[in-house]
Amino acid sequence: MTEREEQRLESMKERLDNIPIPEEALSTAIRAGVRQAEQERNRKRPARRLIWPAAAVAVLLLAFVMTIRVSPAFAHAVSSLPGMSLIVDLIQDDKGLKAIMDNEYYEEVHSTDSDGTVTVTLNGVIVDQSGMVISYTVDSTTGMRDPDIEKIDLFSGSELLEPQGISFNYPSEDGSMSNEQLIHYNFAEPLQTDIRDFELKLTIRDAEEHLFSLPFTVQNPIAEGKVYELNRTVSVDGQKLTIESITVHPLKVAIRIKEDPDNQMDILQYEDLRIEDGNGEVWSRIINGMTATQDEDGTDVYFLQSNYFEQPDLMSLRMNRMQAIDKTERLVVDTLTGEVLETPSDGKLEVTELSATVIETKLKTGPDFGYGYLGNATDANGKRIDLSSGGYWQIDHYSYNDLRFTNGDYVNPITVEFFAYPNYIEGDVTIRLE
Amino acid sequence: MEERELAERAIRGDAEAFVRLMELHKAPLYRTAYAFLKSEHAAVEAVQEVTARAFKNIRRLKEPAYARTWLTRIMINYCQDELKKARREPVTDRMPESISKAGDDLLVLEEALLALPGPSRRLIHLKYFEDMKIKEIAEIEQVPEGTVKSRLHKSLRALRDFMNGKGGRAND
Repeated sequence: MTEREEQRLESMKERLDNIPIPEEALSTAIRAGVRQAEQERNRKRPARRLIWPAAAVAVLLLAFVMTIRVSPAFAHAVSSLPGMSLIVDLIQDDKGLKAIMDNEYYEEVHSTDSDGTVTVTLNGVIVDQSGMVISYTVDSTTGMRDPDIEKIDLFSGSELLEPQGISFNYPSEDGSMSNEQLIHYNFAEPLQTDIRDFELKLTIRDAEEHLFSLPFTVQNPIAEGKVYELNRTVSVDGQKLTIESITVHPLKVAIRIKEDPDNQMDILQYEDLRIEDGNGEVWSRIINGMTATQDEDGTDVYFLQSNYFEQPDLMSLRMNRMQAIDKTERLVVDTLTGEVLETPSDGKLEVTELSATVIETKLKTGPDFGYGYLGNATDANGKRIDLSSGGYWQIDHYSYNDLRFTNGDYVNPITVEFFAYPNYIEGDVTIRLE
Repeated sequence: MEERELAERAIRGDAEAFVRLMELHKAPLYRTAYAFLKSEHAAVEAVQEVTARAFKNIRRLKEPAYARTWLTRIMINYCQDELKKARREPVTDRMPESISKAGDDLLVLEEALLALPGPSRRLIHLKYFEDMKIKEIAEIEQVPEGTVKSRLHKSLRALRDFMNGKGGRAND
């Protein structure tokens, strides 16, 4: 009865089996697909395993969440508001966010979208010229299994607000019906202060793809960042650096620092960069979410917790201790011969595994170091090698860091830069802001 | 290295093994994409997208031996989503390429396949183009074998009805 159809299907299959296969285009597509997945993966998973974006210019410096508690009464009062419990968690670690709540700069917004199975509701936002924190709730009639956020785009009108970095959590994986989430969206360019209408586009995938479009309007005026143009060059242990500017936003303080290219050392981490007021109150580095970034011209931008609302009279930018390493100290390996050609002269670094796609190292740091320390890897031709991931962990007095490459398509030997290193320079830099 | 070992290593997060696994299956995956999307460009793009999705979710591949089946399923889901999207977007400037030639009676079959509802199309594809056994299809679709058989039968009938209507060959 259906034989004729079966025959036709058969001959169609034969045709299909004989179509030309674009072998090379497919190989390229496969590589591109893996890269695409890695980039998407790198955008999330901020905390436990430190991962570098494969090809991005921006370097995200992420630190671990520390537990500092604020008054439980305050936390309790605020967390009873809808969509607020995660923000309360955040406040524990960030004085700027606490001031935002105290000054009612957080704004409730109302927008909801549903595809029948999954519903996303916005609770509220904090927006300034530097970025936006968005609180939202995901409800599912069936309970979500292994959900994954595929895409987050924020628009103003039809224009995408280009992100410099986005951090967010996974929606809960335990199949619960409702859970609350936060997105930190950092703008690449300062937001215009007269924008009121936004639209968040969100793609969540569990068994299937759910697309949401959430337009919303903010009522409160967007606070204008206060810019201090400084261009002050200071010297620490003979190393010159220029503090170009400081911009104070409600969400964060951004400090632009450029190192003198003629310096003998590379400054890796400004451990105690901070702002102090006349009473000795301190605003230190942001420790959760995006903590720093780098401009295309090599200027580093560090983020401090904000004192936008305090507006202290006497404000100073201060720093005393930085991680730094002599520019001649390098890690150079040949993955083909398995040779370690150069390591820093202090003998603290050891290569524990070496293959075409993996470099694993061990560094004597003491127990409380807290930084992934390996940076970019470049090949013999000076070409940046694509990373699939980098991991950092600590056992007793040693820190470990590995780099995984997407493939062995590079020219040996490889030079690996340091991102952090337990070698310090000290000085006393104090710059008055007025 | 054997396919199974590649799949095992890929599941453990070895990107290079995953790439090699995809290389092994790229031709059949491309054919699948082509069967649905009818364009070389769209089919190559589909392979990239499916690579990304599979790599992100590789831990969900519980049984390394089923890598091909698993990838095929992701591919078909992707293609059917794309077709749905194309239907929602009213204007398309791209003329689909065709597997059949002009005047060919396979053209009617292609049209008939396009007219089938998604699940029927999937069944026909798995059975006749991917050469899968009823048992394998039952696993993919998570329904009993008997159900696969009766649905397949129904789908073939629908194909036939469509072609008879189109081709004007009643009582053939």
